[in-house]
Amino acid sequence: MHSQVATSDILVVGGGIAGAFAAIKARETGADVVLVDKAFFGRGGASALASGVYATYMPGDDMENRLAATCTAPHVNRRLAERFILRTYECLMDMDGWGVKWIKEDGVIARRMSGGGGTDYPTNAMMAEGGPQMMMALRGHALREGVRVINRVMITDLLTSDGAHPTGGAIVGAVGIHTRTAEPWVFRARATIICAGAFAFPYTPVGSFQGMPQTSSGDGVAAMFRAGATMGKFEFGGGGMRPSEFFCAPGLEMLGGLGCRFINDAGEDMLSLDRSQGKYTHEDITRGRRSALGNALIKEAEAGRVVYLDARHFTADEHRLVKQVVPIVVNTFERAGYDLSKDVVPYRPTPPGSNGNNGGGARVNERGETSLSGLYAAGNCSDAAYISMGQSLPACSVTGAWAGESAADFVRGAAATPPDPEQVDELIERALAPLQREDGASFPVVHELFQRMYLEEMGNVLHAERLERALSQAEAIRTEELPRLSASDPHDLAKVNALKNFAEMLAPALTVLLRRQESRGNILREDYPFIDNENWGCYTVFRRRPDGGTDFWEEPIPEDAEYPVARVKTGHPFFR
Amino acid sequence: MSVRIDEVVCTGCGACIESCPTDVLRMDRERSTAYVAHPDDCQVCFLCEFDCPVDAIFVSSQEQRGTP
Ligand SMILES: Cc1cc2nc3c(=O)[nH]c(=O)nc-3n(C[C@H](O)[C@H](O)[C@H](O)COP(=O)(O)OP(=O)(O)OC[C@H]3O[C@@H](n4cnc5c(N)ncnc54)[C@H](O)[C@@H]3O)c2cc1C
Repeated sequence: MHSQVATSDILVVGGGIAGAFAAIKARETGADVVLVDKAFFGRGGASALASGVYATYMPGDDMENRLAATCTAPHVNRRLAERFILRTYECLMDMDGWGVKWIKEDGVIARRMSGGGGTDYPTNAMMAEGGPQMMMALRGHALREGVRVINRVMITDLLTSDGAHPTGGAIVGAVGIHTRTAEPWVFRARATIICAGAFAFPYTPVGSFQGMPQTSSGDGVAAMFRAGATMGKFEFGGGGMRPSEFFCAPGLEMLGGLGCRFINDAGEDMLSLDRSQGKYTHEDITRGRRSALGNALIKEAEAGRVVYLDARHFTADEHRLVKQVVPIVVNTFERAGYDLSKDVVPYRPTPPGSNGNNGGGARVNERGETSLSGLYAAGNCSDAAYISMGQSLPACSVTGAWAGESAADFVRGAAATPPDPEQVDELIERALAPLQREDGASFPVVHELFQRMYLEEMGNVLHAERLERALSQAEAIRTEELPRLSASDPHDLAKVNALKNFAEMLAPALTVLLRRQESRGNILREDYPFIDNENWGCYTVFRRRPDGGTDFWEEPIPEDAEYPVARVKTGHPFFR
Repeated sequence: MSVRIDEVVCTGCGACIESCPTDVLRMDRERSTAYVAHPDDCQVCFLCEFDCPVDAIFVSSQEQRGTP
């Protein structure tokens, strides 16, 4: 089969903030780096859509206070969390030097209080033109540094030294298809860094965007899983809440930090309601964790009430600041007819796993190494070495830098192994196969099956019975529909392959949720209404077996003997 | 449709086609203007509108308002 070939020391898959940092840091050591993106480097993924808020360390900050805010569960590796927090300052200054525009006061990068909860002092640096400008600046710097960029090629699988999936050997590159021509591509590299973004459930409100969000099909996650990497941190995917009527970020890091309110249609300021009645306090919500707010919204929804974000009390300066830092969110509101200075905007809780920013990925250590030789992962498609409960621009920049630096170390000693031509042909054939099926299952039909499964079976509060039904439906769709997926053209082919990747990860993700016999954050279990730090201060990890099955097991958080959280079982506040 | 391109203003520079993350836009070779080839995939992210040098694009989230 004829294909394009690109050879490099290091292949970076995905050009969001993690991929940009990985590529630039590897390139700074002199390595030859190719970055491939299925969209356009600087415009793909969550990073370009980000709400422009970067929680950063600055010299003189109270580290203990920051760690206390970060390590709210035994699931955070405290030692690595500290290394991560320190490194955010370096990444911030790197980005400043590379042309990312920050809001400054007297020439110094300004910070505001976090809307996501935590510290007693401001941590959030703000981008003067949001995520879109940040990513174009990172792109510009990577190109100036000599990173070779290939756009519109979607990586579909990893190549292995033994030609096997899962491999007993090393990763030696990847294959992909051009999203406009379906032309096959082969990438040969001594180290491959996957930065292809999050895996998340394709749950969108009925009547809104029906496609597969670019950011959340989990192509990279699925490719690593198929190749045999150990995967982790699939249990806490969620995001709490978002505007009900359209598909955009909640903007809460910024709006919450400025003290937005949430009111319900009974006219009550939710925030003033008493926690003893199962409600949340002002402290929980403006300074609390996002999940606490999401859970409060679930309570309101259960009571049949609609909740609105209210920022009408912001000053004109504050409204201008919001528009500057989170342009996408404010544009979305304005075009839908909402003026934040006059109108309240309906919000609703999002079911577990439906937000793209803190799902699971490949298990990595602080060097960005996965369980497979030659394979590195960073950002939303890694478990981010358990440096925090969620993933964010800071987590993705730091893990990207870690992976880029250690991959560069690795290739200095490593010899290049040529890929197995049979494996190359087989994987490319598999990626192209849907083009040959004329009356198979189309993208919209299968996508809707998943959406329906999600709406009908998941719900905001989980239960083993419903999760099991969801799992068996997911398995039925996977075994019956995936082999029949058909694509009408190259554009459709990329979508169908992304849907297949999502579908392959769904069963293991649901299995991880099922195994976890507790509630935590906004993973709420009707059948286990307590937080169990005694038994569940661990993660479920999994790996594919050669026979096609998957092994699951629980692993403690490594290298973190001193948990700041007592090892006891307590009722989850949602069920109080 | 959530993206509208003003054919009179569009210069056919292709910036939006290059940058759209979900690859919604294509060039109409005869008229030398961009057009919306895959409307279902628009995720209303505004990036094409931000990247258009002549303000020929208008993205709307109005059409996204449906039953929650
Ligand atoms: C709307 C929104 C707003 C947010 N706002 C903030 C914020 O203000 N502050 C904050 O800290 N965090 C924010 N987050 C979270 C943060 O943006 C993400 O955690 C982070 O951007 C993820 O970066 P990443 O590099 O891992 O992945 P992404 O930015 O998603 O990048 C993945 C890249 O990989 C490419 N790719 C995917 N599949 C393939 C493939 N098969 N082959 C080749 N390339 C591929 C994609 O095109 C994309 O360019 C927000 C998230 C969202 C969704």
